[in-house]
Amino acid sequence: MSEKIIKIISVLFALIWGIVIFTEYWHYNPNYAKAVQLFQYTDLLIVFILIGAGLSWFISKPRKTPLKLINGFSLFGFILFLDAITVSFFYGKIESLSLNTAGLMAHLGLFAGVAFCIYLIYLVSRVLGFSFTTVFPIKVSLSDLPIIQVALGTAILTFLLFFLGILGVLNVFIVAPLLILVLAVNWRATIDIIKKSLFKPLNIEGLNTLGIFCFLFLSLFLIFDFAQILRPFPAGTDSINLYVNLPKLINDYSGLVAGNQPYNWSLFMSLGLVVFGRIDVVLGLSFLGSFLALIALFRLSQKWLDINYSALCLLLFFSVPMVNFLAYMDMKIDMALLFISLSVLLLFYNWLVPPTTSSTIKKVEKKNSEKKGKGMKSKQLKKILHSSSPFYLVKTKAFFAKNIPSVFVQNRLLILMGLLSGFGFGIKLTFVFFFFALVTAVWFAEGGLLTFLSAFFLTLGTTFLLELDAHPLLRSFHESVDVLQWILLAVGLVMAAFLFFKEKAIMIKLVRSSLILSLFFLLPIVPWFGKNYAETESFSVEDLLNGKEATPVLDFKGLKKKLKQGK
Amino acid sequence: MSDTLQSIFMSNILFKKRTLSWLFLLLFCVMQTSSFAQNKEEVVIPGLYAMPEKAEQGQKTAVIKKAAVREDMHRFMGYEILPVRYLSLPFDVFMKNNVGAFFVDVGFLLLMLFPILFLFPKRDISIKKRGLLTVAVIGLCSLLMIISVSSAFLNQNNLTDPDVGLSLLAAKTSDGILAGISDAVNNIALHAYAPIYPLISSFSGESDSITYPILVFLFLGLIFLVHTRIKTHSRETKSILFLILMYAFLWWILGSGAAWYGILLFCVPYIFLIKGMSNQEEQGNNWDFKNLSGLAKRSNLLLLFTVAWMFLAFTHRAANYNPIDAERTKHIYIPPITEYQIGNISKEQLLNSSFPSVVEIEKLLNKNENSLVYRVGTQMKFFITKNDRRVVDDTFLDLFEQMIQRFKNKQKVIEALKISGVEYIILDLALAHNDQTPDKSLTRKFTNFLNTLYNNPSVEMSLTNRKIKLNNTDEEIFHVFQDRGTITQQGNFAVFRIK
Repeated sequence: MSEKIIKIISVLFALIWGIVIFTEYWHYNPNYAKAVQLFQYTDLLIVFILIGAGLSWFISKPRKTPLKLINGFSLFGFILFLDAITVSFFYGKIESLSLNTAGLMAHLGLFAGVAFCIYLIYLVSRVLGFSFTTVFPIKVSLSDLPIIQVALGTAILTFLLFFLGILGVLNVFIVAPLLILVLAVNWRATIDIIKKSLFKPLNIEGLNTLGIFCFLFLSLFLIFDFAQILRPFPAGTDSINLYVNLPKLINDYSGLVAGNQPYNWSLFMSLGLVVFGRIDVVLGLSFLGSFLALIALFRLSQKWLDINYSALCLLLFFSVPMVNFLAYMDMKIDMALLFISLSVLLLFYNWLVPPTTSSTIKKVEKKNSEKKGKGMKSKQLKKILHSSSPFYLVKTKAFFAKNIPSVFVQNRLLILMGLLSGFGFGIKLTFVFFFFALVTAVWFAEGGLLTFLSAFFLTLGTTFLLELDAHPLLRSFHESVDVLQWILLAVGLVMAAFLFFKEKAIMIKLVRSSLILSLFFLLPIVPWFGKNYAETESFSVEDLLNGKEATPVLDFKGLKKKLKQGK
Repeated sequence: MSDTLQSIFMSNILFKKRTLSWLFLLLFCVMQTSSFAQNKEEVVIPGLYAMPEKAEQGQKTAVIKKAAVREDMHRFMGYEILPVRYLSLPFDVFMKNNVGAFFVDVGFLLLMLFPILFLFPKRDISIKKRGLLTVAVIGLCSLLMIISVSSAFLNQNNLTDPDVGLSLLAAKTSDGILAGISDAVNNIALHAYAPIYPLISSFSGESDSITYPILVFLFLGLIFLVHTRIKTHSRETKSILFLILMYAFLWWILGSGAAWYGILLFCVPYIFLIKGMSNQEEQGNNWDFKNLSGLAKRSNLLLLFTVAWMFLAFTHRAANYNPIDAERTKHIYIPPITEYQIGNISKEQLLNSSFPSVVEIEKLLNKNENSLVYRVGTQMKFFITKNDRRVVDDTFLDLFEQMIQRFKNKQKVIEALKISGVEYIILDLALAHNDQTPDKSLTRKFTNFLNTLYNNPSVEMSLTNRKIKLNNTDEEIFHVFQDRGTITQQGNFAVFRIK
């Protein structure tokens, strides 16, 4: 009886809540009504639905062998096909404009050209990441490894660019040969990655109509956005004044720009000008952050959802106007930040749920049995997994395996989470929200709810103690914060002390984990601190984070004197 | 001021020379004026630039060191009394009632469906706990809804008193079913909010000591709710969800309401939303359809919401988020960009269509690469060479405000800029349109800035895309001020040269 009453109340409230939210949203967002009323692309929508239906029929046809047609290369061709349709429809609607075959080919050529440039940079990042995981192997799921390698590789590449920037040699004559060298020296991995990313058939097992339509419409949003960034200038206040302006200045000076908070992603984006001399490639590299974020989100969602619902998750996220705005209009670096956050989340997941060696071997064995091979022993398995590795990487790996302290070996994933988080902090300082949340989540994972609460109080107290709420000028609104921070810290410490006596081993482990995370979080930031210290010669946190810009500062006192003197 | 006056009067010299003391008093009064435009040397063109009213008296005023941050970032949070500002923030972010632009639009699905997930857990929660969970969720959601809906309505109508809001609603007629439902919701919310508002106002204003503790306690309550709801879920699910929860709290108190600062919140929760509303089979666990929540058993609901949202999202995107008229909604792509891509227009033509006169501005400002440029808004910085070393940014006129407080008159302000090496001033003529502050501080500063340039012999206008029609003749000229005619083309930039 009580269950029925609860159910009725819940259903009633859910209905009311849903109606209230929708009507309020509709009221405050009148543009949706206008967009629906004035929608001009019903014909295009029908075409896409028919394409989706056709694909659904084709893919779900019963087959003796899995479909091998769908790979990276054919998918890109399909993207170009969809783009051609959209551009043609667009020109068909605008009476004052006309499109001929040459024009369409020019558009598609530009689309493909910029995509190719971005792919080359992706390849370099992936190869660097692969090299890193060869030297420092990590226990992660095989399906997560590629995206984690890209994240690591991007961080390593940016690190290299930073040092070239310090030396003032960030120009095409130094950087381009360096990138080619990275690909050439590890040529086996390069070819392997090209084969896997472009020509290896994608695993679409279980894909149904829902998944197909989700991927199709996701592709459309990606096409609409990518086609708009093929322009010789940025749009949007923040990207034109900062995030794309920095790559332009880096290219002009062949070095780092003075002042500014750490700008890892803008440094990465500068490759578009330094190597290719094109702003649209710079914008494309910014867009790459969005694309990689989608891949990382896809991998993460597959921990809980099947391929179809994972596709739905991506579509719901990427259909949101704010995300599109960040992807093609005002290209801030928040999508790149999201990519790094999701990569760290993937590492965190693998830390929580380590993949078993047996499951890894089973996957490789299954692949080899498809090739009519026999089952493999672990030594042979390792040989296969590292068959792309050059000897010097294998030697380096052996050297580190002997000389690295065991605490680092046992906590590799934590170290990588810290390093990538530090790289993320160097993209945008707001990454600190994620890092603090990560630390509290580690405490929860190891110790449960009470430990999480202790971490919460300590984190919040630290946040106020460091005056992080002063940066957005929110602190001045809260009169009691100077007292509150100590209360929070005290509560956190008391709880931690209680837990220490109750679960000593766990608390020691948590303190060690937090220290490892924090130490490796700070490591990637140290070069930026060094650069900013060289500009300001000050150790204050403000100066270490912001450096000293080259913009002349108006000296009011001096000016006042000069005005009085009539100068 | 009173201490300063006292010291003057106590001075022997001033005490003896009464005439001088009165002159000094007069000078102090002049120096204490807060509005630069009231200086007698200034000319305020009446009727053209409206001076904003002063802020409402009687409330506690927080000390704002940098007005620029307040104007730029705090507009996303709103300017209500402090507890309401934070408590209504989740609603404000999803509804975008503080800043109505599409670039902060995060849809409505998460806000609509996530609380509902709490009401329909799996069968592994006891009836008693489920009852408590239901009461807690409904209570919390209702309270936040009352505060959020009311404050959104009051903000939209520039009101603070709920009773005045109710009177306004009573006089209003609804246009359509959805508008009628919205008005009914506002009515109920305002009635419930009417006794709450005086209670909150009694201990809070623009600043207080109670908001942070309230947020902490609320968050602790939320932790227990979430923990109860997902107690039987896997360790990894709980860990990720608690990470998101902690991240959400930090964004709530530090993010100033900027949605993109918390972009992870509009991404990862979809995984669990879909999980909670779908009936997909799970490998390895004892999956049984009977054990699924009521929502998950009806996964068609999820598809229904998805299709509804996708239709709205697609039509909006197809209009390039600018559905002004039938012609504009055809612009799935921006025409000049696509024309450039197919080779119909050149790069310069594309630049000029997006940034009017950018080629001329580039030539003008880059003629002397050692000169400085004082920039107030505009997006021209990108086109200025060595702009990190040559551009003095003052987008929200923070620096200008300091200059007028120090130098007191417009000639000296311009002279100070000249001595500093500034040769050009470039400004966004529509800068004040971004002003969301209740006291219109940005509008006031911008008016003062224009007055600094107006009729100033030390500056000359070099370039603008604003046109006016002269009063005497019907000739249209490029000009910034309306003293000689009426504006026929608003324009969005002006460049002045310091002589």
